[in-house]
Amino acid sequence: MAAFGQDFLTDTDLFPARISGEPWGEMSLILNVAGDRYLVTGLSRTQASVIRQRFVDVVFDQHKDPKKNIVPIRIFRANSNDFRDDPPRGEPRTLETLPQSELVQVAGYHFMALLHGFPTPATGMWTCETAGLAFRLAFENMFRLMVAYRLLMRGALLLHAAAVVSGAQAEIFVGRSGYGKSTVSRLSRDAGCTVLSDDMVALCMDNGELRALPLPFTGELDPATGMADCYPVRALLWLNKGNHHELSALSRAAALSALIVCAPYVNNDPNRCEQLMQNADRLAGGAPAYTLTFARNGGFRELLNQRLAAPWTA
Amino acid sequence: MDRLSRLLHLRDDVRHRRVEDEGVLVLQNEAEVMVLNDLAYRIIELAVEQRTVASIIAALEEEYDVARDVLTGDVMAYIDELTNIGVARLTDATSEENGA
Amino acid sequence: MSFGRLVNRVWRENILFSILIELTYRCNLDCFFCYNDLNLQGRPLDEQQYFDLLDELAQLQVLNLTLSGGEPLAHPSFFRIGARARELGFLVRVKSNGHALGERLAARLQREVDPFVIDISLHGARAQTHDRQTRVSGSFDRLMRNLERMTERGMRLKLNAILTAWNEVEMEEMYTLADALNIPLSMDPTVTPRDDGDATPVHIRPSAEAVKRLFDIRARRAPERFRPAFASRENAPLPSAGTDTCDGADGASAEKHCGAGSSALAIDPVGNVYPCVQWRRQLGNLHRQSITELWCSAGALTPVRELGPRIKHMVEGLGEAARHAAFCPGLAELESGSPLQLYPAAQEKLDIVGKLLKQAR
Repeated sequence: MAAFGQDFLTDTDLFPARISGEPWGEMSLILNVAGDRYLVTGLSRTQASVIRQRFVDVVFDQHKDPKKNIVPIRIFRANSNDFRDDPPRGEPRTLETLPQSELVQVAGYHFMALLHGFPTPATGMWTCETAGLAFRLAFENMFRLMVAYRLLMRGALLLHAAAVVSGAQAEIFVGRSGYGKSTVSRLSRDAGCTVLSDDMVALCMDNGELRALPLPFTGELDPATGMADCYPVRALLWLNKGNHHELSALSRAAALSALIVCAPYVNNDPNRCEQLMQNADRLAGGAPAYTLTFARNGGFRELLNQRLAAPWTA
Repeated sequence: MDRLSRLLHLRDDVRHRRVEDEGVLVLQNEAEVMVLNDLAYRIIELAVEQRTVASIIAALEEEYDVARDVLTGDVMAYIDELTNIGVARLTDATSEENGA
Repeated sequence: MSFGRLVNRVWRENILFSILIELTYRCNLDCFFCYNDLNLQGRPLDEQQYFDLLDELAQLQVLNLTLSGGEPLAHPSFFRIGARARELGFLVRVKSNGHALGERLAARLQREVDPFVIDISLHGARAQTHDRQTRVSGSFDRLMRNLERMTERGMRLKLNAILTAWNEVEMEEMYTLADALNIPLSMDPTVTPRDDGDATPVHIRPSAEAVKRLFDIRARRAPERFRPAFASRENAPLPSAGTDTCDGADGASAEKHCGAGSSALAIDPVGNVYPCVQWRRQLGNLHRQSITELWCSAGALTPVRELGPRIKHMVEGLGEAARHAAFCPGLAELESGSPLQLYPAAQEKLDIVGKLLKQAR
């Protein structure tokens, strides 16, 4: 059996077991994402600049409500010799995780990370990258995973899903890679909807209402700007490519299953299985769920507008 | 080759340091420590510079106000001691240049 | 000319002889009682700065160089720094947890650094105890495998253990284990607060009874020549071995309690310089001044050196037992704010040795 991280690391025995080391610099930033404030410290100036550019809509230099929901991420130095230059087998894998009860180890291209201290984990990230696309990718790979875990521990979920706002309500199009999330996003945008994201969205329950929280993670489409902090969800739609349009009801169990399948990172963690089931179950009961079979001509928008206009009770 | 033309070569595991007018020699493999007087440690310092025995004696002649034959006797006696206890060995200058 | 006499000279004449460098606080284990300040701020020394430092230390006649951490092997330049130290003739000691010293890294360490000794941390005689401390499952089993392989390679190893409430019941077993591995074991009963003052580790300090048992074991195992004349054959604690910082061999003839700041220094990953690894009174920083400037200027070292005789007299004033209480001014300052203040662990050892003295008479 391959040792954890050996696709990415030259010496897996030196993987950090605690969040400690030497920082790249003294810069720090706050990323305001899905209701949490991620305090990123230990950055060099160039690293801080890369993050500011990439996450321009959610980055702050100073604390707002500093005591509220601060999630620490510490950036530490690693050497290029710590990492392999190319992941073996030619796979474009971005990372590998080794989840344990108290922590999650993460190995990726030119970075290592440790989430430690459940249920409210802090994160350490060790990288040899300091600038440009290389650092941006390393940081974003780690950050997506961190957000996924943080949302899980809050009772929410990060989903591989497209989120489209139609008439101040969100429709969540759930599906794995290749299921058509970007396609329905594009078609919805063409029909006058606002696309929150064609790749990732956060779902949470807030005062009994299912809400979609925009995330700064997108796929092929640029995210809309000037979005609200959250949107009530009017439907969960499991995607199915076809040559016609059809909306068929999805049972709660099937909806729960769909959410689990599309909850990246945390659905690989057997230690968090119970939490994942609980969250998915609660979220699945927060809005009507359907299988949306759609053709590529955009006509499914009419179907959705007709069928989802009626009020729904759980 | 006569001994004067040979290099005095310290064992690889030997570590050493001057402490004012004395020297410390540590034989790592045996975990033994030797404290040397100034002259003895000077010989070590010169040996580290990859000098032949003759060159070591010549250097010491300039530093110490001692007759050459007395100095030579002392140096050879000390080198014998070092080689007998295995701390150093005499090697051919040629073999050292060839990395032997 | 004895080495002990040389060490006395080094202490007396303030000749820098020993340096401990904490290369990094990154670590592949997560020991509960680790003393590192994990929130240390500052710019790490870069590789060239370490090379320059080593050059200067060699010029200053330093012989003993300890590479520590965290886990020093996790430092990106560990092997280059270690190789350079070897080239410059230092007696290199590596303090490691041994977790990464499998076949490949052990071979590389031997080949490129050839340390005088590798101090390896042992936290228990059984996996459950050891792993409880390291908080990494499987660390004990891995360590045992690594120790066997390193011994087969002929590497010079020493096991270091801290006696705690968690391992005190298997103290004897730990010595038995070390004997079976044919590796000397040094056990210290002092659990210290973290360097930032956090006293959490202190909660697992060993019991007084366990400390006394440790003294008994050490006395039984000590070679005859190391047993103090006062003690019965069973009850003489062994002087700490291997460094000149804490134990000056013939320390009685030097007018100082220890070598901290007078023959030794410690350096943390961001270049702060201290009298020793335990005494975290900052003397300067290598980003602002060289080690030579720091050592040769009157500056911050003078107060520390002036304390040496005062500490010695204070300790001597506590009676014969104090010679074996291993009083540490650094720990005293950390726990009480003064390097002259007796702290609880030292008082406890004093009491234990005092009782042993009485029994011996």
